[in-house]
Amino acid sequence: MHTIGILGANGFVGSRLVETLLLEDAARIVPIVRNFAGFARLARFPLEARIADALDETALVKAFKGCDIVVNTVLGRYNQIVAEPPVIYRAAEIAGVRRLVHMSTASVHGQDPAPGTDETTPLRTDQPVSYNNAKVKAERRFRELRRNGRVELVMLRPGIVFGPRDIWITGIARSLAAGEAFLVDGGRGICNTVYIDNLVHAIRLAMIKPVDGEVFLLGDNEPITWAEIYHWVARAIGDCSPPRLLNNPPIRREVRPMLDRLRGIGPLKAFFRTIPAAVKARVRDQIGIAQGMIAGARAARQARARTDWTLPDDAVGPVPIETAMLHRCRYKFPFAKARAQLGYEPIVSVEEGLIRSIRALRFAGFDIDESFAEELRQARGVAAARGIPAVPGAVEETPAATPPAVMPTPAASAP
Amino acid sequence: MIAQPVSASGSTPREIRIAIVGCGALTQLFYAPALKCIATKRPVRVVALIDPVPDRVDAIARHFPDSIRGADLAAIPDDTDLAIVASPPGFHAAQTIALVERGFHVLCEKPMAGRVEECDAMIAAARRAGRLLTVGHFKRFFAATRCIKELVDGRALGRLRAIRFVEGGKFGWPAQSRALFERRSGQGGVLIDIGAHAFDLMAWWFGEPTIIACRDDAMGGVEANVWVRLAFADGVEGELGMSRDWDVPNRYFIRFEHGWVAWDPVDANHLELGWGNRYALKASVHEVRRAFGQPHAGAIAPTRHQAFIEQIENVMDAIEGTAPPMVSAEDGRRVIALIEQCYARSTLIDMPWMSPAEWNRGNELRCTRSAS
Repeated sequence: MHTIGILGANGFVGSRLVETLLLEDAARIVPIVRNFAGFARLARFPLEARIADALDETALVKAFKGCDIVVNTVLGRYNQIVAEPPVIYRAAEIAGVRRLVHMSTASVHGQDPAPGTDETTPLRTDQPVSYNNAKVKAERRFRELRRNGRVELVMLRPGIVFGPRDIWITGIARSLAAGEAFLVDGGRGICNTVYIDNLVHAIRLAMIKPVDGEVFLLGDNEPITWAEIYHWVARAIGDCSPPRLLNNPPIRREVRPMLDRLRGIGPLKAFFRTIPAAVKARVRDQIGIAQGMIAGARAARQARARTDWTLPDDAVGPVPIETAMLHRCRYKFPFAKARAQLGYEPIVSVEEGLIRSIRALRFAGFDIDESFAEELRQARGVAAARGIPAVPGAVEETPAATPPAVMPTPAASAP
Repeated sequence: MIAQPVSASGSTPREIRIAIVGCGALTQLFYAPALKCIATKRPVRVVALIDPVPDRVDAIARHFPDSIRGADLAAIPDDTDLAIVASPPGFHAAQTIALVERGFHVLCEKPMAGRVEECDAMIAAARRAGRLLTVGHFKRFFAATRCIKELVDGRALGRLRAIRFVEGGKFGWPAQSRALFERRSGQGGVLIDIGAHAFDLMAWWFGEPTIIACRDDAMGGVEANVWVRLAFADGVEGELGMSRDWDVPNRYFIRFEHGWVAWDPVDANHLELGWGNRYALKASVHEVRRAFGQPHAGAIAPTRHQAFIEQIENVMDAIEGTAPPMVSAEDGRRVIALIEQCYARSTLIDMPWMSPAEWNRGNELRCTRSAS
C-alpha cells in the first residue's frame, strides 16, 4: 500500500482526493495543510494531518517523511505558484519521495486555446492572464528540477475542475442568486470541464503508471457550453434572474502580464538589472502613491460626472479578460495522450457530475428543485442523439443505504 | 444566576482582578484587547495568564506585563476575583470547578462544556462555593439580537411562523492548536462550536425548541457540516444549518405573521426587515434618543467588539452587585442539553457526490467511532 502525501489536502481537489482514498481504504494518507485552520474539513475523518507551508522546505521535508508519493494540489497567487517548485521538489528529494504528481492546469494553453492545441503545443509566458503565465513557469521549473533530480514527476493539466465545493458551480449559483450573473457573447463557448472525480481518477493513475516526466491534459468526455451550465444551475436553484447576456462587452485587462512583457524586452531587461534594489523599492513606493492619486482623481471625476438621471441597473462594468476568454472558448481540449498512456477514461459523465454538484449546493444554503436532474438528463439525452457521445458507466444514484429522507440532504424548503 | 454577587463597596468600584485561563486565538483577538479597553475606564487588572504553551502566554503578556504567567491553575493568586476560562471546550468543566472551588467567580467561554452532566457539576460547584458562574454567549449583547428579542416578545410583526438559520463559512478562525478539531478537546465539531451561540439565541428568543432531526458529516472525526430540524411551541418549525466547510449565506431568517426579519449572525448592529413583497429595510440599529418630544435614531448601537466588552462589564457589574448577569449558567446548560440531543440522534448526512460504497464506508467509520 502506498503512503501518499497530499499537499493542500484541505482544498477542493485535495479534500476530495483524501475522501476518496480514505473511504476506499486505497492508501495510507498523509494530509498536509498550511495551518491548524486547514484541519476543519479533514477533521471529519480519523486522520492525522501534518502542517507545512509549501514555501518552507524544512517543514515540507518533515511533512513528506514516510511518503513514497506526494500530490501537490496547492493553490496560490502568482508569486507563490512560481516560487513553490524548487522548494517542494527539493523537500521531496530529501524526504525520499519516489514520485511527485503536480497539479498544473489546461490554462497553460490559455482560456481560449487555438483549435488543435495539445500537450505538444509550445507554452507561452506572455499570456494576458497572469495565472496562466505563473503555471507555465512552474511547469518549466519542475521540468528542470526533474532533469537534475531523483524524484519522478508527472504533471496534470485539468481544465475547469468542477464539483462540490468548487469555485465554478458554487460561484455561478451565488452570482445568479445575487442577480449579478452574466454570459459573454451568449456563453456559447465550450466549458472545458473535468468533474472532480475524473480528476481524482487521473491523479490515482498518475501515481502508479510508468509515465515519469510526462504531462497530460485532462477533461470530461462530453462537451458542454457555459450557457448550459448557467441554465441548469438557475433551473435548480430557481427564484433568480437569468444571466445578463453581454455582447462584446468592455474587457478589464490584467496589469501584471503587461508589466511582465515590458520587463521581458531585452534592452529594458538589461537596464532594470542595473537599477539598485533600494531605488527600485523607492520607485515602487512612488508608483503606489501615483496609483492612489490616479484612482482618487478618477473617483473625483466620476463623482463630478455622476447624474441622478440614470435608469436602475443599466451599468455594466468591464468583464475580466479571463472570464471573457472562457465564455468564448472555441475548442475542447483533447485527452488522447492521457487515454493512451495513463489509461484515463472519465468515470463520471459531465451530466452526472453537474447533477451531483448542483445537488451539493444545499450545503451552501441553496434550496434545490430536484426535478432539474431528470430534465437535465432528458435534455442532454436529446443532445447525445445529435452526436455528442454517450457516457460510459459511472452513473450512480443517491446511496441506497442513506437513511429515509426525514431531512433530504441539508436543507428543506425555506420557511 | 448561581450565587449572590458581592455587593459594591461604594460609589467608586473596586479593582477587579482577573485571571485568563487559555491564551489562544480567542484571548489574543478578543479578551486581551477588550480588557485593555475596559481598563481605560474602570479599575481592572489582569493578574494571571495561564496556558500550557509558554509562547502563547508570552504573546498575551505583552499586553499585561505585570501578570503572573503559568502553565496551570495553581499559579493564579488567591486574591483574584474573576477567572475567564477561554481554554478549549474539553477543559471547561474541570477548570471551572477547580476555579470556583478556589473562590473565584468564573466567566466560562461557550460552549459551557461537552455534556450536561458536566454542566450540572459546574453549577453545583459554583453554588457550593457561592460564586458567580456565567457563560460567554456574548451575542446576547448585540443590539440586533436585542431588537429581535423585543420584536418577538412584543409581537410587533405578529406571531412567529418559521425560522431558518444558516451560519458558517470556510473555517478562518486563526486556531493555534488542533484542539477545536479533536473530539476530546473540542467536544464536537461545528455543532458545538457555532451551534452554541445559535441555540442560545434561539432559546432566548423563542423558548426551548424540540429537536426533530439532525444530520452531520462526521465520519470518525468531528462534523464540519450539520443540519438540524426543530419545532417550537404552537407548531412553529425551524431549521438550523451550520458549516465550517462551505461558504453559506450567514443569515438568520425569521418569518412572522406580518413580516420577516433577517440578521447576519456576526453583525451586532444591522438588521433586515420586510413586510411585503416589494421593499425591505436593510438598516443599522441605533440607540433611541429623544428630541423635540419625539424618539429619534441617535448614535449607532455598539459594534460586535463593543458588545464583547459589554459582556465582560456585565460580569464585573454582577460581581460588584450592581447588575444581574445577562447569561446564567443555566442558560449555558440549556444550550448543551440541546446540543447533546442533536448528537444523540444525528445520522450521517447525504452527500450527493459520494458513491454508495463511499457513503457506507463513511457511515462505518462514524459508527466505529461512536462505539469506541
